[in-house]
Amino acid sequence: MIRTGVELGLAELRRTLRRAWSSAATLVVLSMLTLTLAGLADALERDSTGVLRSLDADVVVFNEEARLQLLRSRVPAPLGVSLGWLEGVARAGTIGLFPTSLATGSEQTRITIVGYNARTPAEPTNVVAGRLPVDGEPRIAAADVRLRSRGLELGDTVVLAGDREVEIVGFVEDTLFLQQPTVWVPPHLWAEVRASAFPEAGFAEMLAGATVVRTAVGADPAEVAATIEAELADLDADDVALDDVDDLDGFAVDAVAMPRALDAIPGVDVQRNTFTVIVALAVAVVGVVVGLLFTLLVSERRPVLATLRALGAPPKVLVTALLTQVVALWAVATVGGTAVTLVLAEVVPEAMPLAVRPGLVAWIAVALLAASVAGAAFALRRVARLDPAVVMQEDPE
Amino acid sequence: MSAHVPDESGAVVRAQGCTKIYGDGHAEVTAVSEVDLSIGRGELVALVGPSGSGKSTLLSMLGALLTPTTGRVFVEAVDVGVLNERERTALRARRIGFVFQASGLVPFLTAQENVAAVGSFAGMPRGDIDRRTRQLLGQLGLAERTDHLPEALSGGERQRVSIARALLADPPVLLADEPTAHLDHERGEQVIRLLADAVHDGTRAGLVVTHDPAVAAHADRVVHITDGRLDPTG
Repeated sequence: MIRTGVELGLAELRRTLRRAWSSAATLVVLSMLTLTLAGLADALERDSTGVLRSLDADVVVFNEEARLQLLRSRVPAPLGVSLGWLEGVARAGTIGLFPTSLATGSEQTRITIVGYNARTPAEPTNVVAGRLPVDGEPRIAAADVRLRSRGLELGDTVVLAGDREVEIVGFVEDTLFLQQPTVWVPPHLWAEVRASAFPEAGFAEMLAGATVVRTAVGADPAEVAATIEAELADLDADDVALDDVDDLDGFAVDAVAMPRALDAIPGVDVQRNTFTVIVALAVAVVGVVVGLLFTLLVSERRPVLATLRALGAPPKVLVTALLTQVVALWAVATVGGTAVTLVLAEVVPEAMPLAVRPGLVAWIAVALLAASVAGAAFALRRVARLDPAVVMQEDPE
Repeated sequence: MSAHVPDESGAVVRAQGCTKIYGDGHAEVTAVSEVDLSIGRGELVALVGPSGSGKSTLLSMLGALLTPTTGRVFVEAVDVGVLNERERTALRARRIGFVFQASGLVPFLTAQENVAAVGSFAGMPRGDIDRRTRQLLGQLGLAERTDHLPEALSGGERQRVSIARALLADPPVLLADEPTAHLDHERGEQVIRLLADAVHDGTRAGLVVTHDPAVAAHADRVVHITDGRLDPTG
């Protein structure tokens, strides 16, 4: 019976091609719109959070006064070593961010410089070319691969922060911070750049931005974060041998699991919430359009459907026929919408972030299918409850 | 209550004291009142009456499309009133062939697919459906028209496809509602002859609702209905 329903549904689509294509075209446009919005939201969020997502870490420890802001946070560099002894902590390292500029020839690009401890969870994991600098290496850096579009290549020498020449020895991928490309350098170089920008703060080699922690296998990051906060409740600079970090006496830390640290990056949660509402509305519009299309179809086909019921077609055959059409239109809309969005992603200017990841397409496809079926529910219900005696009152032709 | 009731009258389809009332209170309308009607195998009955006399309501009750308000309908000794909706649907698919006023063909299915669809509803094997569909369409002079959509067929051809569809599952009951209403005299004659032949071969009982005396002339018995009641002098 299911097969009969599928055959009926496909036959109607095949033999009413003009209607099918116009419905499909409408849904392709809506699907493309939904996917584009979702792709923009996804790219904006990923381009804000890449710097933390690229780490193999699941807890971030900030200075409490920084209110979870990476750029404001200052922690003692040896904190990473200290945390290594705590229960639930597998490894720890420090990371520090600072917004500055990178010059290639005459072109200046705004970037975020990232000082990190090599071979710790503070190291970016997605190296796509060359290698990463290691601690203590002089004038060496790895850059986000997006800087290749500005002409940067392996082995190039660039000028960081106006006066520091560094050689690019590697490229990393998906490490943007607040839409800016990052350049990854040893901690010493990061401290130098920061000190040159804030000469009054002095050169603090033993200072870092935040500590990132990879938890032990099976440990709950939230619990580990709570343990870290409790252990470091009243940290004194002497406890971590900070001879040259006078301003950190008596500071406390905020330790949070990685998802919360990502959400705390400026704009991320607001962007996500805003786009979630917009994408949800777009998905709902798809549901409404599918609902209207199929309600009209069922109204128009009522005499035919009643005839089939009178001839002994069980409701499930007719519901299957309608569902087949819903699914077929959804499939065309999803494939067509994805194809158009992929083309769009290739032609939009680089400044407009639009990424169409397979996972995102899958999510949107599932959401559109659910919306389509939900939208068609009213029409499906009408078909399931159709009184076959209607056939005696209406002229099917 | 068992759906099977032994019927010593030999009737294939039988209405016993059937009344159908629509609406309630002041809006109550009695469409059919206390009707008794039996049709045996090989018998074609013409149900004749003016518009609004209850012809279609009676046909709908005999065809398990409507349940009577009071009274019972039997199809091959099965009491239709005790069946649930699913069982009535199965009964229609397997035991009742319908021919409607305007053929009622599905506009997006070819002639062959229109006929074959009913076989699927009746649970016939695919091979049997294909064989019998070709056979019936051939017998009805439609062998060259099997792949045509209804819009490409004439009114007479559409009604012949409709007859093939009604006969596919070899039902013991054939019900036709004004089957010649949209046809000219010649094509109407052809259609009613086909229906009569399908009944007179002795395999089924037939009821044809009509107001056309030429159609009624092909029936073995003519029953008149007025204001929902059968005319005893009929």
